[in-house]
Amino acid sequence: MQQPVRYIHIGYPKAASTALQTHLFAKHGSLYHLGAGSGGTVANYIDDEMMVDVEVSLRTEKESVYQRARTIENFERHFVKAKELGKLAVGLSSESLSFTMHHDIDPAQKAARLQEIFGAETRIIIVIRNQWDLLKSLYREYVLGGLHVDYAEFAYSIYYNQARSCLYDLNYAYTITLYRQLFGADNVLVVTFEDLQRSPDKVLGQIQQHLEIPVEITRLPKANTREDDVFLETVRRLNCAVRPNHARSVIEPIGAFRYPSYFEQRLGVPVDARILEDQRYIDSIRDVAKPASLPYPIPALDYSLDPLIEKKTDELFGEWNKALDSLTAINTFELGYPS
Amino acid sequence: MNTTTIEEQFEAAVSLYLDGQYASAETLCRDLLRIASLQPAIHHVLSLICFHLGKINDALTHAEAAVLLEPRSIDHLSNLGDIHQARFDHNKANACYKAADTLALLMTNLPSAE
Repeated sequence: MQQPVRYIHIGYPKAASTALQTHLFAKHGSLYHLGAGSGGTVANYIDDEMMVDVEVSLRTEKESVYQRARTIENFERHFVKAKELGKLAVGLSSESLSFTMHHDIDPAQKAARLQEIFGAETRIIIVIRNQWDLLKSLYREYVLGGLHVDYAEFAYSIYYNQARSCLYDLNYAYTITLYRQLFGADNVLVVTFEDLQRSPDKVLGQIQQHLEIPVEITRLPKANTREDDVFLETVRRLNCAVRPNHARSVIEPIGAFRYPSYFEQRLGVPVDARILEDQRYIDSIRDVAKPASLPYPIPALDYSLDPLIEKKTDELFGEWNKALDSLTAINTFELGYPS
Repeated sequence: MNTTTIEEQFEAAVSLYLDGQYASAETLCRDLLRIASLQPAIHHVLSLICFHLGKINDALTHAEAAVLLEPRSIDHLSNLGDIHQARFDHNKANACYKAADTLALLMTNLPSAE
């Protein structure tokens, strides 16, 4: 029996990752998909152990905490099962692998761990997007996840805290080079979100060919609908009053309500009531935040930036995109990326 | 571990507020919101407390939250109006008072349950 191809889709976030997870990786009959998106459900993994291995071990654990052997053993168990089931490919998709949120470890460290688990022959998929569009979309998602600061402060903090923030993760040329070094240039497929929107059949075909599976899926539904900016400003105001999840201390886990088994089984403590309240709040936000409830109009979310922060950030994006153009066949200027 | 219920803790916060112990009442309300974030009454009382402490921006934030979570409350709308008034935002204050008056009128004219 042939060994299934191994694959990892590392993101980026806000670049069709949810749609790819729930409607390609989780749906294609030839794939043994470990998550996210298992069963067609956002953020779902094949089992709780896998959820914790990805969302905690691979994303956040320092070397002194990371139990390498346990994580590798858990993945190996699934690699064997995928082969027994006769699947053509087995793999993982998590946009957080390419990216740094509050307390994530360096993406380069994540990449090294992935190579150790999956092996150097693994097929890598990277979906990139115009950095400014990605940041705006990310901001909107964070607001729905509890963030209370305005967009200007969000962008300001990303630039000012660039030593630890996600800013340098948006240097796609760096990420591509890193993955090419670890997995081999031919194993790294880079596509753009913009092309995926414009020509989904072509790009989805490329991805399926890269995984050596029949091209069965040629369309993706729009998984994340864009929320109205007046509604989002209302949510932001409520977040100011509540300060959940994203708005709390940077040492607290983000989205921890997704993996209660980690606290209960690995740490041996009950899930913090505040984490459960985060879940309740975020789940309810679409129902409770109604701009019409206030007796005066709520303005739309404001995307204006401090001009200096915008200029400095734009210069970095432009420099990185020139490097990207020279590294790949992608023409970022034609796609409207910062140049 | 605190074994009192959220309701009991909220009553304690209200008592502290009525006794003029604003700082302690504020701390208790903020703790409560971390485990009961969608309770409009807690936001409303915290707004009143912040107003007394001179934290007008915080008072506004929680007054808006109280109205968003429970728009049909004359107390919430009036408090929000008072805070806008204190910020010299007379248009928004008037909009709140008007909404509170309309609500009061509607409630007065409601048919009796008997």
